[in-house]
Amino acid sequence: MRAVSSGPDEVLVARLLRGDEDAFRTLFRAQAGRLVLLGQRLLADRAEAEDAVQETFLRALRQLPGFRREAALSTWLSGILVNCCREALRRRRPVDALSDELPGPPREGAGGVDLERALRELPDGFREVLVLHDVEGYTHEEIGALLGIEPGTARGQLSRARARMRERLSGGTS
Amino acid sequence: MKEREDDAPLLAALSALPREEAPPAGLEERVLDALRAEGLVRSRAARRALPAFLALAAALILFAAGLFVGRWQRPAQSSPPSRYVLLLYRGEMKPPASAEEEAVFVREYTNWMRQQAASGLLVDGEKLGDASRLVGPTEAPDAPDLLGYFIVGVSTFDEAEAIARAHPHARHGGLVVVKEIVSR
Repeated sequence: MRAVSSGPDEVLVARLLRGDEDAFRTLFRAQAGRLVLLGQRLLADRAEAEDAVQETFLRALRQLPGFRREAALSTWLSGILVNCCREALRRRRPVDALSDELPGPPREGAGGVDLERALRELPDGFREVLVLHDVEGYTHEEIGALLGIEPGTARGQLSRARARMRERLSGGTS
Repeated sequence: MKEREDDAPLLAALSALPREEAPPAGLEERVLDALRAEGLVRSRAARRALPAFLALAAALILFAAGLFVGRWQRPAQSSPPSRYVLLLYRGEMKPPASAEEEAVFVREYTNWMRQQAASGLLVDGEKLGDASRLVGPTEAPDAPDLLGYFIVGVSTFDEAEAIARAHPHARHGGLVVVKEIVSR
């Protein structure tokens, strides 16, 4: 998943560090669509996702002087977004976002429950791990670092999340 | 993680989900407003009013941030033999004519900083602000535009001068003044 920061990243970071508006617009247009979609999948809420993306860019520019090139700018931004989304989930529901709670019943019959809806209806912790691993391509180690859990815990969450998805998509209510 | 066979259709469907879409309308301006309010982004008009020594400014800022060389360390010896300051003035430096030329400038400056940091000779360095305030006789000539400085720890004036000569600043028309720091 991770990539070494590229040359263009260095130039863009240099321009961002001096407050270049055009550089920010370049960054935003390259990353915002991806980040909003990721945020929407993590939060299952479009408006909250846009707020999280706004907070992500704010934090990114505040923290830019400390940005290291171990990761590409896009990967670094994704990490900040994941943290913003986790904070939003905690504010929304003050229990452990990784709790293995039971989902609500499907809104429609099995045939009408599409993939995105099935994702939205997963418990927060399952959804996070499934989206990061199976949609975004993060490794268990990276997910563990992002979410503050052990890689083995991430594996277990993923296994249960997939099982839940299989049930939802085949018409079960788990 | 070993995949279950019956997960294959699910994994294929998940990996086929779109990864991005058009950025939401209005969000770009909303974020920009918030960034401007914190002073993290300057408007284009404000930026045009700034001196156009962008590559040097960027390189010095990056140096200050430790971005390219990590948190560079002071030389291993706690007390370098002597310290010299390299004062970087605007001189006849021309701003880069294009984004590509700017990228070359940034690369050259940062390579110089990397080399000095790696050799342990670089002690300190900062970019200075754009604004100056002159205090003194009103008939004093305009102060030369000092853009930033580096401090190197070496044994002789000649070594300090050699380091200054290797800096791309002079090659681009900028002026580097080397002075020994005589007090600690």
